[in-house]
Amino acid sequence: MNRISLHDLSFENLSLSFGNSYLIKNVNFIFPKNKPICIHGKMGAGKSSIIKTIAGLFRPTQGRCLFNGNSIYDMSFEEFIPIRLNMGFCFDSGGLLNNKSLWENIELPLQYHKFYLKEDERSFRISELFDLFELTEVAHRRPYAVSGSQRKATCLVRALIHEPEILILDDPTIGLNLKMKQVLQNRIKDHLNKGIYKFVIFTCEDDSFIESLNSNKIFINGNQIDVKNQI
Amino acid sequence: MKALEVVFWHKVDRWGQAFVKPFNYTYYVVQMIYLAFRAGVMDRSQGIRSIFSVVSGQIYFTGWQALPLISVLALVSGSIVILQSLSQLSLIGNAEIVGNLLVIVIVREVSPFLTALIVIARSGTAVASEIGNMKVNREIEALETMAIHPLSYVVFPRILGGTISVLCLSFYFIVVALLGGFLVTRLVDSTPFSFYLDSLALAASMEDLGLFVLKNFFSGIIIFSVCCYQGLAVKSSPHEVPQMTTAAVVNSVIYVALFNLVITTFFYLYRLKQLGIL
Repeated sequence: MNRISLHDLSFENLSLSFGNSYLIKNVNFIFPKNKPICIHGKMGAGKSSIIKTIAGLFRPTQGRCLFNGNSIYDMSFEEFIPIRLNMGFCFDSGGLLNNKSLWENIELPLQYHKFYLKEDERSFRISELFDLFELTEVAHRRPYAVSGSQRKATCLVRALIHEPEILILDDPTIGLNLKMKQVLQNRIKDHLNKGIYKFVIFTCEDDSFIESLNSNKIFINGNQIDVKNQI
Repeated sequence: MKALEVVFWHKVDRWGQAFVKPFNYTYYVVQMIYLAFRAGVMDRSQGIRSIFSVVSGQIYFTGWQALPLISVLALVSGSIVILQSLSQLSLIGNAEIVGNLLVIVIVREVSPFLTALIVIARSGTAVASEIGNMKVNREIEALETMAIHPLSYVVFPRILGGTISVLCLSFYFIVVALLGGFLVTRLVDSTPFSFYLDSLALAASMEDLGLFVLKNFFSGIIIFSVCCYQGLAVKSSPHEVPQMTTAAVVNSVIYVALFNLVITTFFYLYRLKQLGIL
C-alpha cells in the first residue's frame, strides 16, 4: 500500500473531553507547513490528548481533525493506513513491544507492510539510526533489559525510520541525554530543510530544544489554543 | 406508593440489564471475531511472514508445550474409562461393545471438554494477560500508529493458532487415551489388543469425526476469542489485568461447557430421530 502525501492538517471545531470536563472546546486551527509546532500548557491541560488526536488514537468529542481535508475519524482503519504510513509517532513512555528485541521493534512496521522496503535497505536504515542513537550494542536486547533512555531512543528511531512527512512526538526529550537531544535536533532540522518533514508537532518542556528548532508555540489556555505567543 | 413504584421499576431495570448482558457480551465477541478475520484476511498491506510468526508462536505455546500435561491426563482418564468399561461390560457379557462406549465417552465427550479446559487454564489465561499487559504498556496503540491493525496482528493469529492447536491436542488426547490407556490396563486385564482394536474400528463413524471437528474447532474459537476480548477490555490500569484474566477463564469455561452441552444434545436428538424414536 502506498503512502499518501500530506499537504494540509487542521482542526475544525475540535473539542476534546474526559467525561464532562473539556480539555479544548470548538478549536479551529491550521497547522503551518514546514514549521515545527510545540504544544504548551499546564500539566493535565491536554497536550498529549491533542497529539494523540492527530495520530488517530483519541477520538474527539466534537469536531474533526482533517488530513488533506478528510476527517481521519470518519475513515476506517484501512483507509487511514496510507496516512499512517506517512506518520511517525513517539510516545512519552512505553509503546515498545516487550516480546521483541529493539531491532525487531523497529523492523516490524517495515516488514509488516510488505510493499515498503527491501531487506537490505531496511537493515541499512536501522543500522544507521541505531549508530546515531548509540543503540547498536543493545540492538538485540528486549525493551525491559535496557535503560529508560535507550527505550526512549528506540521509540524515537521507530518514529523516524520511515522518514515520514508528519512527525508527532510526545515529550521527545524526556530521558534523553544532551548528546541524544543534539542528534534528534539535528535530524529534525536537517529533514525540515530538505523538505522531508512537512509537519513536526511535539510537546516539550525543554526550552532549549524548542528554541533550537525555531518552533512555533501554541498554548492550551482555558479550553482554547492560543497561537499569538510565538517565538 | 410512588417510592415503591420507583423501587419496583429500578429492580425491573436491573433484572432486564442482567438478562441482556450475556447477549450483549456474546454479540461483541462475535463482532470481534468477524472484524479480526476480516482484518486478517482482507488486509492487503500485511506481509504473511509477520502473521505466520505469531501463528506459529501460538501453536508452539498452546499446542506443543501442552503435550506433557495432555499426555498425563489422557493416559489417566483413558486408563480409568477403559478399565471400568472392560470390567463392567465383561461382567454382563457384553465386552465387544467396549469400542462403542469408548468412542462415546472419550472421542465425543471427554477429549473435547478436557482439552478445552486445559487450554483455557494454560493458554487462555496467558493470552488474556498478555494482551491486557500490551494494552497497559501502550503496545496496542503503538501498533495502530505503525498502521498495523491490532485485530489483524494480535487477535487473528491467536485465534487461528489456538484453534489449530486445540484440534491437534484433542486428536492427540484421543490417541494417547485409547492406545496408552489400553497398554496401562494390560497390566491388570488380559483383553487381546486385536479384539480391542476391532471393537474401536467398528464403533467409530464419520459422524464421530464430524462431531470431533465441530466441537474442537468451535471450542478453540470460543476460548481464544473470549480471552482476546477480555485482554482488549483492559483500559489502562495494571490492576485490571488479573481481573480480566479471571473473567476470561470464567467466561471461556461457561461458553465452552454450554456449547458442548448444546452440541451433544442436538447430536443425540438427531440420533434418536435417525432410529425412529423421535
